[in-house]
Amino acid sequence: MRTILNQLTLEPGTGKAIELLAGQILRIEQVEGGQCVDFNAFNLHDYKEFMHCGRTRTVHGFNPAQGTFLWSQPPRERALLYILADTYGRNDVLFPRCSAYLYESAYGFDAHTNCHDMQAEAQREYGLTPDDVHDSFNFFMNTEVTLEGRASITRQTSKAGDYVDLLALTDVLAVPNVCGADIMRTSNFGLKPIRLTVFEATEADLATVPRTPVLKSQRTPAEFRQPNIKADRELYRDPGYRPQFTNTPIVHQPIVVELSDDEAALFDAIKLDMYGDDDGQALRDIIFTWWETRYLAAASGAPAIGD
Amino acid sequence: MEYCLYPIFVYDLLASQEEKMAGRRVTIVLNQQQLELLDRTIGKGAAPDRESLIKLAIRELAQARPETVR
Repeated sequence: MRTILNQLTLEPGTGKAIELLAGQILRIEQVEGGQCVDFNAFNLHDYKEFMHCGRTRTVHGFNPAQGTFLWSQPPRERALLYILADTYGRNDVLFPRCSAYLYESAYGFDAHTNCHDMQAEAQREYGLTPDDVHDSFNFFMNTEVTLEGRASITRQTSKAGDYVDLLALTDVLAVPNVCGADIMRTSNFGLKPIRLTVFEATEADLATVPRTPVLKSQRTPAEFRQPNIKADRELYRDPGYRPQFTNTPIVHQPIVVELSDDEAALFDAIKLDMYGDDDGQALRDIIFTWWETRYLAAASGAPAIGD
Repeated sequence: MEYCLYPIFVYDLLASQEEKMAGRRVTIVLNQQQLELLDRTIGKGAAPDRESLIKLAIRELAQARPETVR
């Protein structure tokens, strides 16, 4: 049985920054149902490490739900939180948080509840600026991608009592807010409160979390060539700068392959038309497509997160 | 390690001449990162050398796509 550490109701139009320590669970729960919740998360001890929707959706797809992680941005790329439970199962990592600009440009409002400003106001309690608000993980939000490549919001059917449980894998500042969209279908054209509960995770909770990689490429400021956060906003060139890009110069080497008649026939059968007469590029494509098929653990472009 | 001593197109021209002879010679141009990946794969036992690995890739990809092989 979990110990409850804290509980509060998040009223429409508001957000709250919550210190969630490693091993604690934040439950975000529907009071009435049908309410989207935007979410930011920062490393509590280093706010420059934050949840990254781009990396999260690359690893888990457009609709991360139970059993997925919320990842921090490169070059940190750590799992910050784990979705331990999700009774509704529809979340979004495509749409940015709604903003004052959206409501003024589309609807003519001088002022309107919006997720960016709510996040900024909640984060202000910890000294963060509006520029520190990052792309939101949108809980209880139904979205689709059209054939034309556009993302669209559809109505949702979450009901009272639906919840997501987020297990902190490291100390984080967790910032949920009640999405401010009442004239869009995001929360079925209404604004409802949300209940937040912080629990201490049980041993059984912790035992369900899959392992994630620990790699030397998960860097901290100790490995940065420039670790100091810039205090002034103006950008100006460092005359002492000397570029140190990884693995440069890129050097090419020809590799000659002698194909038998049978091998050449197979090659001709599978090489892609897009390369025309360029057999070298066509064969290079085959080599690395084969390697992906045989060895790549995750979808193309996604980092591997398992063993 | 050999480096690319001539412009890439020269190797392509030489290869196209030799393709008219018996067998089929294909020249691939790879960078050091691509070669590292292949050499690491060879080191794990997938094939004894680069050419064998490349031929393995052709065979296995063709097997995976029987609909494209006449």
